[in-house]
Amino acid sequence: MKPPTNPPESSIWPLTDWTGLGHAAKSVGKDADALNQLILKYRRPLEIHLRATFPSLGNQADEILQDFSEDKILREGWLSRAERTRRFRAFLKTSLDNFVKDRLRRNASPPVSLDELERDPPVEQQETDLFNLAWAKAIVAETLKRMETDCKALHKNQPNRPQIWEVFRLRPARPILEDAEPMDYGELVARCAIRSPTEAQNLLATGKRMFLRHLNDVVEEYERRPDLVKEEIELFKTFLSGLSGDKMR
Amino acid sequence: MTESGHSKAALSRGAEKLSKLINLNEKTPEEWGDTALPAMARHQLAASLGFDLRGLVLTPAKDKVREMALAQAAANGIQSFEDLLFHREPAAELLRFAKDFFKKGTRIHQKGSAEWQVAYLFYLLTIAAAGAKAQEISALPPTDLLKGVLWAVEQTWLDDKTKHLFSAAADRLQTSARGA
Repeated sequence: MKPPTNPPESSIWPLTDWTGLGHAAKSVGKDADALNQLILKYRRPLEIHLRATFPSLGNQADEILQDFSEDKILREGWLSRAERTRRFRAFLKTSLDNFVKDRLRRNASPPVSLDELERDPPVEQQETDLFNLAWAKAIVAETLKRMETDCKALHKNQPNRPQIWEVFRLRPARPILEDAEPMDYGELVARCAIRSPTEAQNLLATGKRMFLRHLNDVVEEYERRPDLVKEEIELFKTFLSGLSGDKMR
Repeated sequence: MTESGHSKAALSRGAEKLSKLINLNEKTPEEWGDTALPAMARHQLAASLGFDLRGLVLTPAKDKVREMALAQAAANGIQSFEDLLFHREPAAELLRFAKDFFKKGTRIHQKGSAEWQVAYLFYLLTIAAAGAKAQEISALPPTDLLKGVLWAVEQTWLDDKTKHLFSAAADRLQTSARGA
């Protein structure tokens, strides 16, 4: 398997592309390109999960993931089952865990026991937090990407869309994208040629609305069921606020 | 810091940033720094009257009045809020539109936010700028206006010119109150 092209750091755990997944599921053994794309898409987060969950196997990660993709992802019917699962990520993660455990059992030879190879409970919790944080980053990264694309596309009725993106990027998004302080008011209005405080406020409010709309769309695609989107975003908020509130368990 | 401690801190920082972003709400006031208030006030003074006042939704008849007032002001070289508010004889019609514009701002923004403070200050400023004709553009009772003007005088982020206008208005209102 070729290593994935370097995605943006924030794309550590890509979104579930259900359309692509369904296509891949139907094309097992028929469409090598579609499958290859799918494998490349999920390779990076799987590797992170694998290294964190089975640290002693870190040096075999490439080989294990190669085998996993050939054995699991390429096996006819497996992807179709994934399609019926509510949470694809959990399905994929559990499948990888089971695959590795089976492999370890098959290859079990003293002196290293399976228990010793696996992480201890505190590490397990941290891995779960890392995994969920990576998931959150991917959702936000995808939302920002879509918003930027939307803002930079030509809109006859809203010629100020590039300005909306720039203001959003420099104020709410900058601390995340560039690990920098948000731009102060004077610098922002000068840089973005904003004509009055009211215009600054309108651009910011519109940007926030657009971001939330795209976030909603991204989660809706991921969950596929509109009724679960709100719940999913709330779970996402609770997890992040718990983690940022130093509630590490 | 231990490796584990560092890792936890990094996780926490990452989560905090993401949390702020997904909890965005257009009604949540922007956390501007200390320099925002004077910068916003300067920006508002320099802003084009036409650009901001045309944002007010009016009836066709009032819209016509607004356009005429803006055209008249432009003919007299009055383009910005600063031109209007510090004019020797500012047009009452235009001051009224400006007052309505800022009053709307005080209703939109969360009380106490930088945006609200600037909108409230300029609301008072438009009335104060009318001088003796303040009653023509606002129904605000003189005692309430005085209270607001005294609040404005205390704001440390005002430039000298604006502070002077408020001080003069405070003197005038206090004199008028004593004479009543």
